[in-house]
Amino acid sequence: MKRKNKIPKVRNKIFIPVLLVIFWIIFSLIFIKTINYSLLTYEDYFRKLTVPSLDRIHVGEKIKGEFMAKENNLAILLIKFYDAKSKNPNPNHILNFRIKEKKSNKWFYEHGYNIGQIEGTLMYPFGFNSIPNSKGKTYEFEIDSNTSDNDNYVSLKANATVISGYYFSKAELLHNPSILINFIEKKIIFSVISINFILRSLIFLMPLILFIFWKILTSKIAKERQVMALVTFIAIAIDILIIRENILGVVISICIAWIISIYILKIGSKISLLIGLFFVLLGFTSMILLPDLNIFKINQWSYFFLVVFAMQILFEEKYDLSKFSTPKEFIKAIFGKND
Amino acid sequence: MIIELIKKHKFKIFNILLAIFFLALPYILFKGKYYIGGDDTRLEYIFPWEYFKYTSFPVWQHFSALGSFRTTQFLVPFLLIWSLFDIILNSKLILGYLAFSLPMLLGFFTFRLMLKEFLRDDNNKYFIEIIIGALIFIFSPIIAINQIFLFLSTIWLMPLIPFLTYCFFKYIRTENKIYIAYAVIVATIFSLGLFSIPWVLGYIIPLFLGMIIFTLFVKNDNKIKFIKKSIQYIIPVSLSQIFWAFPLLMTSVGNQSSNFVSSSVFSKSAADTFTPVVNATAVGNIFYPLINLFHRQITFDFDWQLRFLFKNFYDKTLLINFIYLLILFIGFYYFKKNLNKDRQKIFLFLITSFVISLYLNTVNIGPLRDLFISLGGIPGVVMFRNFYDKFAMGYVMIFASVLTFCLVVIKNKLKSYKIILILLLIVIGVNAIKLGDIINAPLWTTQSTGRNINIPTEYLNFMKDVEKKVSPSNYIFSVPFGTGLYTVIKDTDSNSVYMGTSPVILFTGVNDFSGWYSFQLYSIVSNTINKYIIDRNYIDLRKILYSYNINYIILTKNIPPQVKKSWVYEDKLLKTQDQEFIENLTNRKLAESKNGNYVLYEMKDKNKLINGQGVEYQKINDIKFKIYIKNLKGKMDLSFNEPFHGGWKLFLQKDTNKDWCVSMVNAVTNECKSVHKFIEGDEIGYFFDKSVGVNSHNIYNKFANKWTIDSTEIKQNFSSKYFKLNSDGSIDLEMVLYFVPQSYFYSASIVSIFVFITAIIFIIYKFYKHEKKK
Repeated sequence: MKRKNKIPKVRNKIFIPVLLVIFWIIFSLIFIKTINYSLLTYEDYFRKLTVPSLDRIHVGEKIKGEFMAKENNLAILLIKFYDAKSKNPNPNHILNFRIKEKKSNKWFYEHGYNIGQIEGTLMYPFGFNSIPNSKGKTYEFEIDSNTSDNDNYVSLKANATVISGYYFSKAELLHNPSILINFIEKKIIFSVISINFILRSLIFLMPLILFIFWKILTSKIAKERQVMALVTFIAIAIDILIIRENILGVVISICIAWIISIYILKIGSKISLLIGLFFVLLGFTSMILLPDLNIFKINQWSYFFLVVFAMQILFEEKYDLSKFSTPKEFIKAIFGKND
Repeated sequence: MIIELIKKHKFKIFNILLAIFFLALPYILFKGKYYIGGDDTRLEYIFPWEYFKYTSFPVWQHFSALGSFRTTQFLVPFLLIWSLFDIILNSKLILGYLAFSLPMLLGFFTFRLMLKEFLRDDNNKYFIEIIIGALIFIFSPIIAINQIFLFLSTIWLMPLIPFLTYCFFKYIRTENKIYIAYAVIVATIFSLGLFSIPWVLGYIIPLFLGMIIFTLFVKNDNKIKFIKKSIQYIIPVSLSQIFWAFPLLMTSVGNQSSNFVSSSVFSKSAADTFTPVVNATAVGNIFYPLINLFHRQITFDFDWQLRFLFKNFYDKTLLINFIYLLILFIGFYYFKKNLNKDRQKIFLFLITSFVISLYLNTVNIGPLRDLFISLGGIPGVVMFRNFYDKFAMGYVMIFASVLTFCLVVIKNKLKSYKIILILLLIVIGVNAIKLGDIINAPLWTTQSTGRNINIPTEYLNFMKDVEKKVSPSNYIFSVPFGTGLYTVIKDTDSNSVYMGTSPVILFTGVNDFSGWYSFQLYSIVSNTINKYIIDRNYIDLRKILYSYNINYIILTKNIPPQVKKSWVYEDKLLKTQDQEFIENLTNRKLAESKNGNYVLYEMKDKNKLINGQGVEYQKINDIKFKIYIKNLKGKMDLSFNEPFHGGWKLFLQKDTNKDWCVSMVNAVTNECKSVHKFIEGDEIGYFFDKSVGVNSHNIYNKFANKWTIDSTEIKQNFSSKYFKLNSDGSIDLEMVLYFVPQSYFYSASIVSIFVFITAIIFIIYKFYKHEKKK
């Protein structure tokens, strides 16, 4: 009898979560296009980067950078620009990129890129012919621009992300098992487990998130339930302050978390309305006083809470769900003593 | 006594004062000049009859462009009524100003009607809140930018949409069919607004989606009844619009359609631009619309004049607009205890629609932006690529309705509501002050060129000369040839200009080609013409102009320098349209205006509209020509230099004669003097009649029409009444060249007229019955 009772517990606590984790990993690896199976990439935290002007790269100025290659076959340098604007696209608006080994006098590669191409990209890939024996060598690169007006420019921050990429051909990997093992190991460590990858893969983590939410929903522990609302706000704060991209998985996860919070904590529509109002006011504040805040994320969450409010008042018309309909009750529910 | 009288009639007095204000507004804003120009020209409000005659009645149209099958019949009822006003008022200026005031004036009153119905305020309890709601709508800075500044025919949706909404909800509530009759009559008169389908949908879509969501949540046993009554309302109103909707549908089915709706809804080029346009313009946020302001970022990204208004005014007064936000959130927060159950339901429906409308008007909301872009794949959605424009009016209407409900909540909840009302009125007033700056903004891409003019007498007299010297079957090339299909008419006493679609056809009945878009269906022709002008390749340029039957040139000499540098003219193209250009293309000067600012030249090579051996013809109107062929033996080719369309057909006439050709245009041409007639009575018959040379109707000269007329075939297939046999065995033929799709308009009009007359009779009957009861 005892063994029979254990089966659902094992299924609920181990089997289903493991299955969903496997689903997450496999689907992320298959569908996330950022993974290149011939390329190893390393974010270079110890690189040197000299940025003369923070607002934009002015004509005549040079961005200078230096990094050490981690592998052989250096073939690409991905640089995260802070902003790139090309309001009047013109093929003559050029951003020049050049790279060489530090001790060399001659540039190994030099090319001009149209600024219009850079606009809208988060990490711009500067590709060149792969350098076979690059490992351990220090490389220098330079970036300058022939255009810098209010409508057409590129800007880079001193703490910009610089990623070096190393190309391994399929033939090379298949014929040299040691290189292949090394490649897989590094790929997993440096590429797959990156913030960008994890955020993008969140969409495939949805079944697991929903499962966890379901478990919380059906849990009898009040504390776990209250944490839901708090976690939602922390996640929104992270989304606004840290994640610059729009990542569907993140947005959907937070939306679901709030909707479940409403359901389990019986949060009234007025609370969603007030949170919406808070974000709207935050939006105006950031427009006037805090331009560095991500206005479009604030805009997104303002709208989300307005929609939730609209849905809630319709729902409340049909069902009496409100328990914590005033801010006081709500705050008490989250931070106060458990039932 | 007086005070008592005022108290008794305070609502009426208030209405009269507001009406006076709206009527006086254009006199203050435009200071005696016409508010004309742009794509729609707005000349229909000043010259309604001319507009009706040349551009609205026929379905084959020219308006500074190649002929095409287009539908502008939606203007017909309005233009006929406006022509009557023209006769009564006998002043073009008053007529023009009335056209400016009327959408706002009527919009204000119909919006109030709508709000009154939403609130079920039969006792005028919320009179002030409703007034303020209507003021928020009319004086919204979004409406000022989106509608009043552009003043396209969509402006008539301002009164029309609220009125139709009012009639709809009133009918649903009372089941009194008189509201359907009212809706039919008003929809027919203002059909020029309803043609603006994307803007209408911009209002209906959020409401429709809101209604669906609302009905999912709210208990209502009368859903079937509601749907049934909705259908009862929609069918007659739709039938009242069939007179323009049916030809419009046919233009989309047929070839070479160029009407706005079909080209923007179905064309591949429009579909291809959907994603780039949305990507470029979805840069706003929900914050500005929430405080009743237009998306700020768009104005800066596209260098609109409005950006200066943001910098100099809206940015500085931003905080006062927070009153909208305050009212909105107080209303949302307290509505449950301060609205009765009926009002609560309508408010819930409006809030749902408001949230949807806010998204559609903004788009740039996280992942919802990508959702909107992916919706572009659905046929028809492409018409919403300018979402910030198409959904704007609908958004403001819903926003103002929601705010009115919020004001009612505040009135019931807060004792200090009067302070909020006064503050709100001040904010509306402060924003309204800037209406003039928005409307009178300088011409786009110029620094200070005004847009309000009095059409110079010099120009009007010159047009009279053109009308006398050029027969309507010829075309004119307007120089400078620009990038749009615009012409520039400079004001006499200022540097302001009319810049809009060239109005030559309105004043002369002769079509002109004024720019690149004049050949929009054949853009390759426009590009070639541009190239030949820039390269000074006069020989080939003359050939191409000849092939399009362009036999005259009008030269405008007084274009202000700022305008020459504006977006209307391409610098390279403008430079080569000089004296050398004129000398190489023209033969002689035919007329010159009094001050020498406008000159008419005759081209070196002159073509004819209809060509064929022994052919004489007469233009009746743009869709009908009479043709006489003398001594036809065997086969002959007949060419017609209008763009090819299968709708052009030749019909043989009984009792062949040439009585209609009283005199020739001149001794050289084969053209009889034109006698303009709208309709001769035989037109609908052509829809069923057998035509000549159907199988030989082909494209000629890459764009025009050509038929082969075979005398043997005619003798075999038609009775002898249809031709005159000459002694040498040849035959004389009298034919009518007719654009058959015009019959779509006639046949559909019968349905619309029937519905319209039925509605009038029904109202009279109801009125009579009501009086009898009394």
